[in-house]
Amino acid sequence: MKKILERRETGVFLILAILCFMLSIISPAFLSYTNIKNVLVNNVPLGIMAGGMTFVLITAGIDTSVASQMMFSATWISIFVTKSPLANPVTVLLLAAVIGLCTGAVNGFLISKFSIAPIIVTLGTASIYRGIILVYTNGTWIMNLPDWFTNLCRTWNMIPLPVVYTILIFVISAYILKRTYFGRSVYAIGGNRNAAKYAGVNIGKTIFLTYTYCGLMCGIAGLVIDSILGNCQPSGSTGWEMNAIAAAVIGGTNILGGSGTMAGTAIGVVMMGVIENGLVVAHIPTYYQKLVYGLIILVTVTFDVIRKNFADSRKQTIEMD
Amino acid sequence: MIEKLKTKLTLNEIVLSGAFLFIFLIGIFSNENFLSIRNILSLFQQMSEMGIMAMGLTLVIITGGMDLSSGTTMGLCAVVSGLCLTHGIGLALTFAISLSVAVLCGILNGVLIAVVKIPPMIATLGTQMFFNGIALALSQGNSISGIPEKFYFLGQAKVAGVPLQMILLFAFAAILFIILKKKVIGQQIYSIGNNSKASLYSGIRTTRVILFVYIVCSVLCCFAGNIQVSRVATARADMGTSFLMICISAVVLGGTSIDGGNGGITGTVVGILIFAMIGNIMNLVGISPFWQQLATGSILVLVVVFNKTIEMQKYKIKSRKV
Repeated sequence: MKKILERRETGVFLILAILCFMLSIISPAFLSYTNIKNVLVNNVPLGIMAGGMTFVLITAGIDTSVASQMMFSATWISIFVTKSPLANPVTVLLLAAVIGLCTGAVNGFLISKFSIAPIIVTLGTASIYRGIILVYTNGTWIMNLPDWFTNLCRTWNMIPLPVVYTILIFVISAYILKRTYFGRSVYAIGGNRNAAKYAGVNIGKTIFLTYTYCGLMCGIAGLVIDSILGNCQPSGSTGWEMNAIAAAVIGGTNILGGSGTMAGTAIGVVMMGVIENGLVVAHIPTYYQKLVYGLIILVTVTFDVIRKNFADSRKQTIEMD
Repeated sequence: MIEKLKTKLTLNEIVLSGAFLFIFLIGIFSNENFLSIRNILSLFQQMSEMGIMAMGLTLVIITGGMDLSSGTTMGLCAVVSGLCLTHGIGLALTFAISLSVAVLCGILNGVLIAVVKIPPMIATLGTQMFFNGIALALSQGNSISGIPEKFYFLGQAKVAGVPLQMILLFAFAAILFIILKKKVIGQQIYSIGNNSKASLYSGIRTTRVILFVYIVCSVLCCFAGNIQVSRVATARADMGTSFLMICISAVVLGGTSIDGGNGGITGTVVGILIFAMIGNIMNLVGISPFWQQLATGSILVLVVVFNKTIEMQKYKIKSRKV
C-alpha cells in the first residue's frame, strides 16, 4: 500500500480524479457516455505516439519527428486505401507497420551509428518526412476514405474500438518495458549509459531499436488517425510532438532518462484530453488550453525536481562525471 | 598556404563554407536575378528576423541549454506590441513594455533552469506553451491589424538603401561576437557549456550567467517579433513558432554543438544565410515551398552526418597511432 502511495502515477492520478470530480460538478454533461468516449477517442493517436515517445524519453533521448512520422504514414495509407485494389485490413496494418518501422529505423540508424544528438537528427528528419508528403500531395487533403476503413475505428456495442487498440498497445509496450531484456536495457541506458555499457548492454542496438519502436507506434497512430477522421490532411497535426512529450512528462517520465512507465503516460494523455475537454465544458475559450498545459507541466516538473533535490540532499552521494 | 588554412579553420568551418559556396553557385546558375542588389537586400530583409532569434539561441545552446520557448516569446512580444500600438500608446513606451515582457520571460526561463534546476528542455517546453497561451489569451486568438504607420520604420525603412533590420542584424551580431570572444562573461558562457560544475567550483557565478543568457535570448526574440510586426503590419500569437526549428537547425549547422561548450555567432549567421538562400532560390525559380522544407531537413542531416563521419575517422586514426 505504501508503495502504491509513493509512486508518481498515484499523485497524477489523484489530480486527474479531482479534476474530473470538479468538472462533473460544473457540468453534468462531462460524465456522459458520449463525452467520455469523445475525449478518449480524440486522444488515441496522441496516446499511441506518446507511448512510443515514452521509450525514447526513458533512454534520455527525444524524438521531435513523431508528428511528421505519423502524418507520413497516414498520408501513404490514405493514398493506398483510396487507390489500391489490394487494400484490406491486413495489408493496411502491414503497410502502417512497415512505414513506421522504416521512418523509425532511419532515425535510429542516424542516432546510433553516428552518435549525433537525437534532437538534431529528429529535427532534420521531421522536415524531411513532412516535406516528402507535402511535395507528393501538394498539400491537398485526401478525402473520402472507404467505409470499411473508417469502420476499423467505429464504436462497436458501446465499445469504441480505437480505445481498445490503444489499451492493447499500452499493455504490450508495458510488458516489453518491464519484462524483456530490451526493455530493461532501455531503462539501464537512461539511468547510466556507461554503467549499462560495462554491464554488457549493446548501446547502439538498443538505441536503434528504441527509435524503431517509436516509429512503429507513429506508423500505427497514422493508421488510427486516418480511420478516425475519415480523411487525411498532410499538413495537419503540427506541433503534436510537443503534446506527446508533455503527456509523457506529466505522467512522470523523466526527460533526463531512466524512469517512466506506460501507465503514467496513459494517465498523462487522459489528463491532457480531460483538460482540453474541461475547458470546453466550462465554457472557457480554447486558447487558454495552451496556458493551462504549460502551467501544469511547469508545476508538476518543478514539484518533481524539488522533491528529488530534497531526497538527494539527505543522501550522501559521490558524483563522477 | 593550404596547410596554414587547415590549421586555422576547423573541420566544420570548411564544411559550412563548402555548403555555402555550393548553394551560392546553384543560385548564380539557376537565375540571373539572384546576384542583383535588390534580391540580395530582400534576402537579408527576410532572414534578419530569423537571424536575430538564432543568435540568441546560439548563446543559450553554447551554455548547454535549450530555449524551446523562443518562438512563442517572439509571438508574445509581437502581440503585446500590437496591442499597445492599436490602443494608442506611444512608440517608446510600446518598446519599453514589449522589452520588459521579454525580460520577464527570460527571467522566468532562467530561474526555472538555473535556480530550480529543471532541465532546460522541459522548463522551456512548459514556458513555450505558457507564453503561447498568454499571447493567445491576450489577442483572443485573432490577428491584430491596424498597426499605426509610424511603426513601419522598423521593418520597412531603409538607411542609405540598406534595410534597417539588416543593419540591426549585423549590429547584434557584432555585439554578441565581441561579448563571446572578448568579454569575461563570454568566456564564462563557454566554460559553463563545457563543464558547469567545474565552472561553479572555479568561482563563476553560473546562476547569474545562465540568467543573463536566457534574458538576452528573450530580448533578441522580442526584437525579432517587433521587426516582423512592423514588416507585415499585423501581430499574431503564432508568429515565431515556425522559426524555432529552422533557428535550432541553423545554430547546429553553424557549428555550435548541441551539448554546449563551443560554437559562435559567425557560424549561426552563415547557417541562417544558407537556409535563407535556399528559400530565396526556390522562390526565384518558382519551386513550391514544400520542397523548401525537404531541402532544409536534408541539408541539416547531411551536413551533420558528414561532419560526424570525418570526425570519427580522425578519431580512429588517432587511436590507432596511440
